Amino acid sequence: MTMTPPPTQCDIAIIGGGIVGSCVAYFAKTITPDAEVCVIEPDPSYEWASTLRASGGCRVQFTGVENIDMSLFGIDFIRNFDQTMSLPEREANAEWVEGGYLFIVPPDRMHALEDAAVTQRSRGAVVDILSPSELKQRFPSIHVDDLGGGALTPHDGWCDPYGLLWGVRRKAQSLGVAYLQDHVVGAQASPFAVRSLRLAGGATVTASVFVNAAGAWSAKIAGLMGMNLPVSPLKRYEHYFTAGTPVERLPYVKDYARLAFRSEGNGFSGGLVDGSIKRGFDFEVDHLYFEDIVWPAVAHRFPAFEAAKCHRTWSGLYEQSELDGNPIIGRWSSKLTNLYTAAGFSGHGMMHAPAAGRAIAELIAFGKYQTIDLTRLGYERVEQNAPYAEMGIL
Amino acid sequence: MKFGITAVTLVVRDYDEAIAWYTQALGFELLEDTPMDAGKRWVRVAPRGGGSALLLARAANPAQEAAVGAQTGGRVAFFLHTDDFARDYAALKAMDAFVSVPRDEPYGRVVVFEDLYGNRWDLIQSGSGTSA
Repeated sequence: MTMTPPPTQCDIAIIGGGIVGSCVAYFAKTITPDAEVCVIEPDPSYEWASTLRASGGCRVQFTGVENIDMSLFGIDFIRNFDQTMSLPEREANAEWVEGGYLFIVPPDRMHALEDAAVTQRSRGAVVDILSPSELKQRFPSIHVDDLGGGALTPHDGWCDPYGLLWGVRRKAQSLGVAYLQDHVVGAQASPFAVRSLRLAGGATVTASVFVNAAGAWSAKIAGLMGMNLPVSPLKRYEHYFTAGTPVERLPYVKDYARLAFRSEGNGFSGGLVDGSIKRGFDFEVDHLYFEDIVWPAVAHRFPAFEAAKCHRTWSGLYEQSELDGNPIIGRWSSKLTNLYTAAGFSGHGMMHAPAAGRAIAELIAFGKYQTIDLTRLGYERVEQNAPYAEMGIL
Repeated sequence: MKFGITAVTLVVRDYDEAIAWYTQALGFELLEDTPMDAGKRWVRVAPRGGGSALLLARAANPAQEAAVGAQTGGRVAFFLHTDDFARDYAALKAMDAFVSVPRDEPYGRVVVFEDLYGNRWDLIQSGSGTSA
């Protein structure tokens, strides 16, 4: 005879305890304090979780107003994080660095960059458009001859994903959120609602509403409930490297070849995503990737990196949204109407987690968004095959 | 003209399981259970606070079977008023049937639950919503 654990009952069950799920839990407990909230997270060490493998960047340089608004809220949240999230017994520390973001583009992309800046400013962001000579003046190590210019957002920056995740998780737990260490392996549903989850350990979790925040694993979770979620694991590398010769302190630089890196300690941290690679749960590190792919791009843009040396490479998964690169946030209104999704952040999950978490909590509590309107990021666009693409991702 | 709705038909899979659920889980009163031809029964249940009764009609063909739990295609089908939301919400929690968390709307405090077949019900307390 096997022992079956008793069912766990809560009001809001969140699948995935990374930064997105933890932010949903924190805001749910803030907005609906009476609700019992539980988070199902298989690994308290977060070994493979995308959150802890992220570079920590937060930027307003998007074209979609939802993304810009989510970033503005996220940056504000992270900037004030240490004050608002510290507990009497334990300080929270997100290690926010307001280092700025710098997008640099070839001449034929300048119009798009300037258009995006107009949108970003209209949402309240500070954006400085820089000519090649202005770029050279600010950042002497950049090779600007083939550039049309750049956009600098000085209030962007980066934080420590570990400090952010654990700060949110501990705060959520202090408010009464329960973290269950287990895998979701099954679901039971009525015709129009998820009724319960089955966990690998044998327990059953019943809840009034369910939130899929399983990141790179979110399509698997959705599949257990008969939902087709076009989100795939996409491997990317982050490298820590040094220049070899002195280089001025750099903001988070992104160029049109998808090179993205920033200062980190005495060196630099960044990578170059290959969006065309085969999708899958693959963490194997190609130690030649820096030498073959990243270094040529860095050395072209920053000749001072000719003698760059890569000290460490690690892999992590994007939860890539295959429809249009934008996240899927909202309620499955056409079928299992108590199932909410916050997934497919495509590399922007950490910076957008606070806003997405608050949005889901609002939707659950009020039936509609109260602050940032994320209606256009809903699952309906998947059902209608109507991509809503972000144009500003370089 | 002055009409009143006395009963609304709810298609069910089985008389006895439906009677048991509405009388035990929701505390409805069994108003009538009269045998009819061919195993059919005339079964009416109603909440003790008044309003229309439900006529529990057993599905007798594939179309009716398909309608069990789906008479409104996932829309809220029934509106159950209470004079004490917090009390009744707490009492019904054990049913484990809620599919939303309570919220305040202009018309009152409301939460959605599903009955044994998946039909949707609002539990409502009218008036200006108060946090319970």
